[in-house]
Amino acid sequence: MSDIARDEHLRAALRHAPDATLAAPEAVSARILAAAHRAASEPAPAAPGRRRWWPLPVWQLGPSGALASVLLAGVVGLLWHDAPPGPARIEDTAQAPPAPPAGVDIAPPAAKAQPVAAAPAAALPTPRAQAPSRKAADTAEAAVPARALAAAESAPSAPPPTLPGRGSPLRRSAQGLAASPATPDPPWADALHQASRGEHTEAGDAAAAWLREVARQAQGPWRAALDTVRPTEAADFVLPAGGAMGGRLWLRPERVLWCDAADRCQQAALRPGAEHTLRQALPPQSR
Amino acid sequence: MSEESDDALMRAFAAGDGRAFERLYARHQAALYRFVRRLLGSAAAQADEVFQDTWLRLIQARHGWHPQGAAFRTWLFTLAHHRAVDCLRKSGREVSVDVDVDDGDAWQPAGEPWAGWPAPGAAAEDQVFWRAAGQRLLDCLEGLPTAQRTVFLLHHEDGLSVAELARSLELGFETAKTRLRYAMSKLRTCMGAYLPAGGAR
Repeated sequence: MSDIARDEHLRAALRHAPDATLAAPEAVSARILAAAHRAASEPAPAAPGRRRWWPLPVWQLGPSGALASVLLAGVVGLLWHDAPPGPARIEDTAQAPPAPPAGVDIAPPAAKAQPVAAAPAAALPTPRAQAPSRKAADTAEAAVPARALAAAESAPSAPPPTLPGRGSPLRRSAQGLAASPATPDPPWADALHQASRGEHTEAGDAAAAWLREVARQAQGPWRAALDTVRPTEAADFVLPAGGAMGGRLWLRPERVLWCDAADRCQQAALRPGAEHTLRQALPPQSR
Repeated sequence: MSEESDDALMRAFAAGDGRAFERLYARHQAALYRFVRRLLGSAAAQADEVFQDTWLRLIQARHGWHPQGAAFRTWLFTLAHHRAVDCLRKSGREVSVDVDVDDGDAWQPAGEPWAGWPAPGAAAEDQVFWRAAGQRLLDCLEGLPTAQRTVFLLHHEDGLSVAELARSLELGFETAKTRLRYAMSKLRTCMGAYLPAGGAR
């Protein structure tokens, strides 16, 4: 891909334009720098930590994850094999407390609270400013400086969302969102499995490896995409499936969109700058 | 003393170093402010708001910044571009995305388009000429569609390649290239009509 040479005369004119020495007004700079110092003095959010490997699907595991799975299965198998038989289990059954009557909730408090408490967090959007998103700009309010400053100052220090009392509209809304189809796993597992049909080919392995990298670069959950966000241009990546099309994938600077063969689409946020990296690594056979 | 990279400064800022942000700001604020003003053209009164909003978004996004792919500066300028376009839309100025459809063929100079002009090296005696040329160029930029103005400024002033333009603005490579060619040919025509060869010397 060739670049276009810069016109040195136009560049010279730009350099000598009357506004060439302009800088931001001091008052604006002062507000920005003050906001930055306030933000810097706030404690950083807890590091997300390494993603645990055991909830991941097998195809997403690296070599170390696969080895750990095999070892764990071996240890469990040995323990099971050496366990004392029968009587202990009969004794356990005899001493087991009676089953609670129907309708009584026996889940521990923590287990009961967890799904509801986790719902608002899962429903929170990823920070729009993580990437220069056109979509984000489209939906943003026109920010007057003071209001934008207030938002910048309050956003990072906002307390974690809590739910009001049972039956309130907010609680019902959060429970509904918890049941939404957002999922942490990429949506192409089935299509990839059908595409390979257990056979290993160089092209198939390259496509699978590339999709693993896409999954690694994706942030946040995968959510169903509305019709309005489906692109009309050609996909960046097409997963072939036995002469048919297993799915298509579009890369954007801040998100990735996947549509399966039935045109059901899901999207997830991408790390800033990941689009470029992924494009460079695209398997040529699948473009 | 070696200069710390933008990425290193951004990481330090995310880790709580306010002085790192000050250095980043000092490094890029003038160019970004100029870019926003030139992009907004006659709506430059809103430049302060767009400029400030761009930096505040960067501050909010500090923990999510990962130096992969696009350079920090490209990311910053693209963010400002989106905010500026949003501002133009809200102020009722049309921001067409189909600027290349009806423009016909891009103008191509038959020969050396700047024959007779002083060399861009800008000897001291040519300063008056180049200042007039600079003012004229700002006027000519006003006449360009926003999309063409954007690619020209990012390419000629911020140094983005066509491929980087395409990626950061979510355009096809050929679209970005065409927009840039149209912008350059229109600007050359506009400048040539106002400042005939060597006329201002």
